[in-house]
Amino acid sequence: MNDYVDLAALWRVMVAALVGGVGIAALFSVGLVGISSGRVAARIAGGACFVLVIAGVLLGVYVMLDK
Amino acid sequence: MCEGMTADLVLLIVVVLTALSFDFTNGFHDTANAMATSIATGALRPKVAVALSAILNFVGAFLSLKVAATIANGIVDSGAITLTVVFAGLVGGLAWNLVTWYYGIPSSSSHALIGGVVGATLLASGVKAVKGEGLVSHVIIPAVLAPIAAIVVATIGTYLVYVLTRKVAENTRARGFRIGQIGSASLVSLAHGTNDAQKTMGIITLALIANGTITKNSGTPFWVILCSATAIAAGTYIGGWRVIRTLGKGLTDIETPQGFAAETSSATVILTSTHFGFPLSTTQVCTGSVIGAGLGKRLAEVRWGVAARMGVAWLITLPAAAFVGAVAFGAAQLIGGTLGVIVVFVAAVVFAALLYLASRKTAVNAGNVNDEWVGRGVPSRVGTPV
Repeated sequence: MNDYVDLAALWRVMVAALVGGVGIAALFSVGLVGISSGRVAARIAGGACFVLVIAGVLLGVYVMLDK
Repeated sequence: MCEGMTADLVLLIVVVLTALSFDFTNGFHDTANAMATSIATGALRPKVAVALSAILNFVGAFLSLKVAATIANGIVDSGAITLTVVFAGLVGGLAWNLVTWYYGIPSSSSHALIGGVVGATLLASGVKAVKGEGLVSHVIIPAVLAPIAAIVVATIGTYLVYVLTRKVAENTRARGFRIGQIGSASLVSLAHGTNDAQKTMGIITLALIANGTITKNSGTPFWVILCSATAIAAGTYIGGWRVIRTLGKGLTDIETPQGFAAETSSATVILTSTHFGFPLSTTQVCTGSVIGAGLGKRLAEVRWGVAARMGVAWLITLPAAAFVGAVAFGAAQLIGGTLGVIVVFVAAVVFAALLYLASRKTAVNAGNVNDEWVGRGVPSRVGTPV
């Protein structure tokens, strides 16, 4: 950490925001592809993606409550 | 002695009213952060969007009750904070919120409040009471980093969303992202309630402690929590339509997948920054996300002129609010005592009323907020004043 910016915190924010933000957008998209597919396996995989998205949302709510 | 007590009580009441007014403007200024994209894409009808956001802000205000009785913590010397400084700082923040609302510019309410307090403190206690290092690390650096972080996340997110779902039927894709967008926008609203209502609670608690009404250890009274939650929710429901229009229609033309990617980016950047103790302005993050959503979709246009106008507003937020804060403090001191504070309060109310009346001539509301962007905030079809 220097005098003006907490580089360690900034680094964590950037990585976590990238992984979280891009990851959730991608998971949701793959979920949509899965459930719009005719195959059962793809639909199950799509559903699993949505479960992960919901887990991400719950993590977000936890962060809000934990601060 | 009795007269002194009455004057103190009047001063406290004026400070509390000003804090709640600031909270109200914070609400209507920031409705756009969560709901502008949902309104622009038609994911939610305008009135439904502001109602949902208001409810979530209200709920959010009750979720996190670790209220810090501070204002501009780490930026001004806490010993320099008096009730009059708090009041003048709030007036500075309020004035900047109202002016930027009038011109439809999203800008950070927190930075406006800090600016107001810094200005009042400079006049009250001099330069030594303002920590330059705190100002750079708490305001200036985050103001640069917030939009950049959001632009990066939203650009990549938007690109992936379009690439991954390119073979999905259009109606399935639109319906899916509509639901996703409502969910992510709701998360932003909830986060806003937990963050911004807390600030007002903290200011009022600080004022109550300074006045001796409560002790440092007594915690925030329930009426303070209820009033702060109600003020921010009411402001959110009123809907700062002018700002909503700029963010939803002015920066870029948004489709539902872009809106989803933008709100997801905003929610994650805001929550991760909160979690890792590097707080970023919600407004600056959300604006960056909308720009990223424009960049991430190939051939989508970002209106850089509108973005530049916002950038200029962000640059002058601190000095402009500081100037008003200093003037408010100087005027209150010049007149003297509680009367000085009351006169400045009345002047602020008159200023707000005049600005409101001026805004009615070019009204933007739920009826015309989504009209085609014609190069300025006010649509060709001016809405009926409400």
